[in-house]
Amino acid sequence: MAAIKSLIFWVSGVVTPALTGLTTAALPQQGSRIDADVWFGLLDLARELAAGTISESDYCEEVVARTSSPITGAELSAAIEQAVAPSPDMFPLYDEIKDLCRLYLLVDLPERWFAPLLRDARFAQTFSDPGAILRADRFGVKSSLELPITLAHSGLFDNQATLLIDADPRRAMQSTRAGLYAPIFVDAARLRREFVLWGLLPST
Amino acid sequence: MTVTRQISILSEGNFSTTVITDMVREAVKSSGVMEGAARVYYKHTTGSVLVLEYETGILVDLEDMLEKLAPAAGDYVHHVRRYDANGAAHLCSALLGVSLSVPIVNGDLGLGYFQEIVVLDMDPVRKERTIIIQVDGD
Repeated sequence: MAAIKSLIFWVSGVVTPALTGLTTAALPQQGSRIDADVWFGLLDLARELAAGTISESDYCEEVVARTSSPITGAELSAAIEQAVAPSPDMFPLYDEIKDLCRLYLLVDLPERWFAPLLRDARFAQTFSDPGAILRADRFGVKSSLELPITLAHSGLFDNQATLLIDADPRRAMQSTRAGLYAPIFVDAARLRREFVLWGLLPST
Repeated sequence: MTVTRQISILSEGNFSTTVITDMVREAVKSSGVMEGAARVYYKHTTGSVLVLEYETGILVDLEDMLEKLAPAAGDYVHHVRRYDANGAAHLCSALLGVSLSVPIVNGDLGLGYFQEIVVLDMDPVRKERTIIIQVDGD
């Protein structure tokens, strides 16, 4: 591969906690049913939402129905909007890398839940270039699981000089197989170690 | 002293991986054991627990290697019962093993810089999976 010039960060799971976790945390603990089957269903819904197959309100209504939660979809949407925030552990890494590579966000959250991120001054400053924001729902896929192949063949990026940071290991493997290398995100410290191995940052 | 803890993960199967290093480390630290060993046991027959560098390329290479040894779409005698069709996952699990032991040194896991404890789930079905962590020592 060539020297890395572009870094693309998936928003849900990397820049913020994953949407499924944000959603279950926003539901009332009393009266909401969240077993394994429900959780996997919420994961599928989040992937459809990311791709734009369903709307934010449909997502919330469906979550409330599947979990039998004693709140409305509108209340859930407002609670997620309140909860979503950039992960603070990532800021030192953005600061360290932003002058060395072009940074992009792959936004898999609806506009209402992405907007609070840009109200964070430090985050907005890091991603101030409007061209740095790519919406996952512009690619015409049915689920965000289909996005790696589409993105790898989109011609938007030089795959040989780009890393796609992804918290979903299966999706990261699909990306890498399609030619767009995707380090698996676990946490900021491990991601920094990956950047060192790519020669982007010095080891400490 | 022996301290046992059980943890659960929600796994999508189909070669899903989950890093559990921090969970095992937390179990060791909370046990108070300074010198000994942590045993990690995957309580299923279609996955494995491994120590490896958690890097996408290694996972792709590992999946390719296992696919050559036991193709996921292969025809296995295990399937004659028609209960399930996960023969490849069982064979890969048998090859890779379902348990490992990590030394505890000075109250922490004695892992190398790149070593992570990773659960690999090869079953085609999404399920909640159980891991037993047993911390032994003084």
